[in-house]
Amino acid sequence: MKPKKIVVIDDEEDVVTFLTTLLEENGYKTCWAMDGAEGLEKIKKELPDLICLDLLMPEKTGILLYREIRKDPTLKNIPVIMITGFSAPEYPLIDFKRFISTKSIPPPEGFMEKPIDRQALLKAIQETLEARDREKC
Amino acid sequence: MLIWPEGSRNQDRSHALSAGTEMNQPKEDRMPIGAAPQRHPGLTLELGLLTAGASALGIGLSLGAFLAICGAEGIRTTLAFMMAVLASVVSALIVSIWVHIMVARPLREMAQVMATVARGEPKEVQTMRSSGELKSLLQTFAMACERVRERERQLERSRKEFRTLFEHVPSYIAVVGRDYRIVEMNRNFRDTFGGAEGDQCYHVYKKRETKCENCLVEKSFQDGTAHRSEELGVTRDGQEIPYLVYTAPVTNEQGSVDHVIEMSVDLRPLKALEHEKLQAERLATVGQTVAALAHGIKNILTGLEGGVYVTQTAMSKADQVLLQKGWEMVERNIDRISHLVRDLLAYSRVGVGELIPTDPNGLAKEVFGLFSETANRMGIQLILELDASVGEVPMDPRAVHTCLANLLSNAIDACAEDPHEKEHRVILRTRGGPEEGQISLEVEDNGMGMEESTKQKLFQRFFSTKGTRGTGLGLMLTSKLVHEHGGTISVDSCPGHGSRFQIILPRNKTAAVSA
Repeated sequence: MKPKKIVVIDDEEDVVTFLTTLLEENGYKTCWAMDGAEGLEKIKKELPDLICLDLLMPEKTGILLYREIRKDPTLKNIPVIMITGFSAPEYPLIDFKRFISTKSIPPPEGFMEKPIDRQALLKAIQETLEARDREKC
Repeated sequence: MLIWPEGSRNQDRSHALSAGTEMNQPKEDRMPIGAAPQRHPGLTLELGLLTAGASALGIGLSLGAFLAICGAEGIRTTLAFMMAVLASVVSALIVSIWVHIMVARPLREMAQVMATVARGEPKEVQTMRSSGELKSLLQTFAMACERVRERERQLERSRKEFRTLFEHVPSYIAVVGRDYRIVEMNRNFRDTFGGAEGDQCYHVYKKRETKCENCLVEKSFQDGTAHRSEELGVTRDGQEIPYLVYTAPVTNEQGSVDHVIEMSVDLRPLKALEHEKLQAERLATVGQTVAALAHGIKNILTGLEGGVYVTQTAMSKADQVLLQKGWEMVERNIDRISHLVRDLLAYSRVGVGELIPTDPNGLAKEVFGLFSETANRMGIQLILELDASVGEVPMDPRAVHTCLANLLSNAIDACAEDPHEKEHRVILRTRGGPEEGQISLEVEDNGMGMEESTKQKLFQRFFSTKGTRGTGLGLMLTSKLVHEHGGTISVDSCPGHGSRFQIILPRNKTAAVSA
């Protein structure tokens, strides 16, 4: 079976190294970007099965990038797992949820909090991909 | 021969003279409104009438005596002459009475009214008994009087309004003379500061015995302009009261300053609000600090966990390249924790330490030495430009060392991260100025520079352009330390061209200021 492709977008190099290593060790094919603009290019080029996206990044934030992904007809069905250092109910997450609800943007498939629980992340990725596969069938 | 009684001729002349003087309004009687007339015109007219009557009687008696002496022919001629004279006298009498009724009486009444108005007593002017031009004159005069009365009423209303405003305005108002004695004070002033008219302003305001240094009243007397200052006074109960005082000159008709008016506002409610706001801000700051710290620590923990995981994976696979990567991650994140702890400790310390005379050039050399190797390794030229004339300046050397190290470290990073290919350099500079009594410490680079939006947020807590490498505390700490020295920090920057940070410290700061 062809390995699933995941794009990791985070401005922190250590997080990128950690996540790509973790995902590759668990059978996924990865590519990565360290800012929003580069991330959008990678997504368009690779058309991955899933995106791990950091919420807070300088310049083009994860919020703006998420909005663009959801607006793009070719990308809007790619599941996204948002990764953030802020945990609910802190402001950035509330702002993000309000933002996507006012813009009628569907919520991401999952939220992961830093520090990342490896097992929880792998489980969330697996379940999301399985759900997407079922939808396709 | 016609013999005129001496007395009656004289009386007649005097009557004619009197009547003439009255009709022509003699010079001494044409007095301005307000001056009491010396001689009454009506009285003179009445005397004239009496004189006219006496003349007629005298003529009658003279005629009887003459008839007894003269013959019949002479009698007829003389009688005709006498009749003519009598007719003249009667005509004069009628004219006198007419003048008395139509002119003299209204004039007398008018004079009485004028005298009353001049004394400042309200008086209705009657015009019913007069007619013609005189009536018109009286009506005009009545209108003028009514206007004067209206103005007086307006003036009285304004005076009352001004007095109410003066007494009840929520400010302290005192009018002060050149001898600093209070000429007038409002109720609010009296209730708060005590004292009375005639007391010296400095004694009432501040309970002091001598004039204040930098006295605003004196300044307003000297330059004739308004001044403003924040002062600390003492209330009548002995409590300290911060107030904002404005002084304004009060000039006389010649334009010279007679008095100075002092208007003050109680700053206690404002200070209380400021204190409350500060407390609220401190609480909010604690909340923000904790939230931002939690975020920062979570990121570091993620990096650490990731490093450990990558290291373990590399070891299990015997992958040397991955092992190196994982171990670097662990080291980097341990380094981040120590930086964060160090900056937090430095930030939380209350105030700078003791200010001691220090040579800024010596400090600059020390910091320069710390960074020269790092800069060389990164291909960045580090330049030291010292002004030997700056001399010693009171400062906490440890604190200023921290400031310079932060700025130099940032400048090196700005060069290292600059995507443009160029010869990067960082200058550490000391010099006197920009004003007398100041020194300037500058760090200039030709690195990536900053956008305006970044500059705005530069000194905010936990703001960092360095992503994972910055704690977001360095510049905020630098700014805090500089301000505690009584100095300022500013930045000039242009994206793609570099930045220049300038710390200006005063030479005369002798005591440490707590935050």
